[in-house]
Amino acid sequence: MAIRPQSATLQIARALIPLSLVVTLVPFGVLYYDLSKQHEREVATEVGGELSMLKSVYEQEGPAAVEEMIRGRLRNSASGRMLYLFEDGYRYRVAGNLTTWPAAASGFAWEVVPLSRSTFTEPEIMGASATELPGRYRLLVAVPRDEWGIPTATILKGAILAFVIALALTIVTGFRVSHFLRRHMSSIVETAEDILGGDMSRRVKVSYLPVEFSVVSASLNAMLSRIEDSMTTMRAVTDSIAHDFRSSLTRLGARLEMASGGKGGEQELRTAMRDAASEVDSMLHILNSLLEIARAEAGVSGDQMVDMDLATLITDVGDLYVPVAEESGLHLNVHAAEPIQVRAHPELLAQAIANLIDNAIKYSPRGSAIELRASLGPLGPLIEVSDRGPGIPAEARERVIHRFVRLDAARKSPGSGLGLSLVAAVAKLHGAFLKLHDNLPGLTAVIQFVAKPRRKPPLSFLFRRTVER
Amino acid sequence: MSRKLLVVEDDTITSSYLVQSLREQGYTVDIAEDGREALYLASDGAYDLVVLDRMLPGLDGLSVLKALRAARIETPVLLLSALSTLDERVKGLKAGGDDYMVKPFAVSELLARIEVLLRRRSAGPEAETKLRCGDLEMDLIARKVSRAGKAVELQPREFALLEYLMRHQGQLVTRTMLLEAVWDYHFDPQTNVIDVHISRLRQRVDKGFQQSLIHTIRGAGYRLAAEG
Repeated sequence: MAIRPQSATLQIARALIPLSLVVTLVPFGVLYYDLSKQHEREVATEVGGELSMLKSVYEQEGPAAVEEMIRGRLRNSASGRMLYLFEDGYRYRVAGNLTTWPAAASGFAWEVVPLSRSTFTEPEIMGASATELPGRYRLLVAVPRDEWGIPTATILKGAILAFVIALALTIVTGFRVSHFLRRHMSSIVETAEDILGGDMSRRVKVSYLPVEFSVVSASLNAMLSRIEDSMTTMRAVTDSIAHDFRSSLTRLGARLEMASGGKGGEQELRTAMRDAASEVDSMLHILNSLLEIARAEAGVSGDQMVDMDLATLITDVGDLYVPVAEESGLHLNVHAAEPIQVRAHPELLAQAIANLIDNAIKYSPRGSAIELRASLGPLGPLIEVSDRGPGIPAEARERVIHRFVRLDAARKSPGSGLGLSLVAAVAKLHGAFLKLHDNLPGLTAVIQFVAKPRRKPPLSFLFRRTVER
Repeated sequence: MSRKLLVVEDDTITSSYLVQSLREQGYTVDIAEDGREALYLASDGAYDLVVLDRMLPGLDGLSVLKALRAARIETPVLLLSALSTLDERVKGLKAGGDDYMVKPFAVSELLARIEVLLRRRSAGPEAETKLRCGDLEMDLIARKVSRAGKAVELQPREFALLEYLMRHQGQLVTRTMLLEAVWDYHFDPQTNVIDVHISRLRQRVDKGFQQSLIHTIRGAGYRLAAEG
């Protein structure tokens, strides 16, 4: 369907015009119909009275008296609006001002038929009554409809007036509605323009708006916040990449320069090249981690989420890491007592758990134990990884989740500082969150799934169609 | 007999580097720089393997692949892509690709995967029930392993790991390949998880024997072989 843009005023008016037409014309139509019926009844009674009066004259005094009476009435204009036709047995007009008998029957109670006043005039619609008289005479009395006294002109005038007023009101309403829309839209438009101008922090003011608009605006604001969020994140990532890669590239450049300018032998060159290659490797590793985080943060399509069992998942990941832990003189204990169903992306979740275990292994003192546990908490399913390492000070816990943040104490051990941000991103993707607790001593990292109701925007009942897709 | 490979890659630096590495390995290599040329060259089925970039000018890699498969050309195809999501990987494999590598990649990894694809082709699909490498024997039905007649006890994962190595004996197998094949994970663990598992396997298989079968290839991966 092609939609041509039109002003709201025009559209509203167009929708309302048939409505106002119906609203004004139907009552007047009914009024006209009722009034005309009423007048017709009155005229019919009048005509019936005249006819029966003439009939009794005929019966008492004969045709000549009736002829005389009709002629007299027509002459003096005493007949008012009534017209007559009085015929003898030969269907010859004895008296009256109508030319032709309208029907086959000689007598009828009340008919609305076309009748002519003379041979040369057009027939008019008239209401007529007729009766047959003894001696094969017959008599008809009629009143043209125009003279029934129906106030047609008044009703028509009223109808037109009402319609004009309704039309005017319709147009005014159209203008007012579109003005109303525009007034409330303008705050949205202004916000959009400010944002176009570069001020990402602007939001639509929701409080002044009618409910329908505030729902739209709230959704818009939420969307804007999400966009601003990702832009900020993106900027942070770009900065971090720039920082990390710049230092790596500088080291790499310096090393290569030294190697090419130095007087070292082949052995020395080989060492330098190997160093350079491992520098490149670590950069690739960082890049891959960043891409994975970006991918987790961008979200995955729903069909990649499957119903899966957390117990099986942590058993599998544990299986991969138990020997690694043992190699570092640690015990990795996997606690997966009962199956716990969640809807998740198995690969990303496995990677998140692997990252947590990697961290735990990295920071645990020799001989200690790492606990990997899946259980059903009060909020919903959760995965815990606890170690007995140095832990993270409470004030730093929020910070370490951000990209590239590594506490000073950890600077010397290998790692990119991206592990926890990937875990956080994966958690967010699953509608879960990453929480770091004190394990007294040590660190407990929890991926807490939140059993969430079906997601619906606030006041969604107003927009049922957009929600139930 | 030298193997004939087609490299389809529009970035000339990457492709010349790839071609050089492949020629050093003794392959005969042709280059195509766009999709149409690739389709033209590959459509006679004369290549043993095609290394196909996904983003190409003209016809994109997936379309080339689909066109080849539609023409019943079953040359193994290794897809290269900067698109790393699982979705993309699945899409590539569904279109008829035999393997999928994400850019940036290590050349040693690429060479190892090419080797695996070429061997797979010549090995044929017949089902084997026993694998053998020197005096190491694996019974795939009874799921038992023995070396020089002595039973070797293995955990299920260790068995799967050894099975993969035995199926690709003599070839370089990278850590990523093992993680994908045995654990079905496509991520890059921070610690050397695979090394630990290999060293455990080594304990069971090689410990107490004169000759080691599992060899570490420095900076690249592992190789199972009876000699060298």
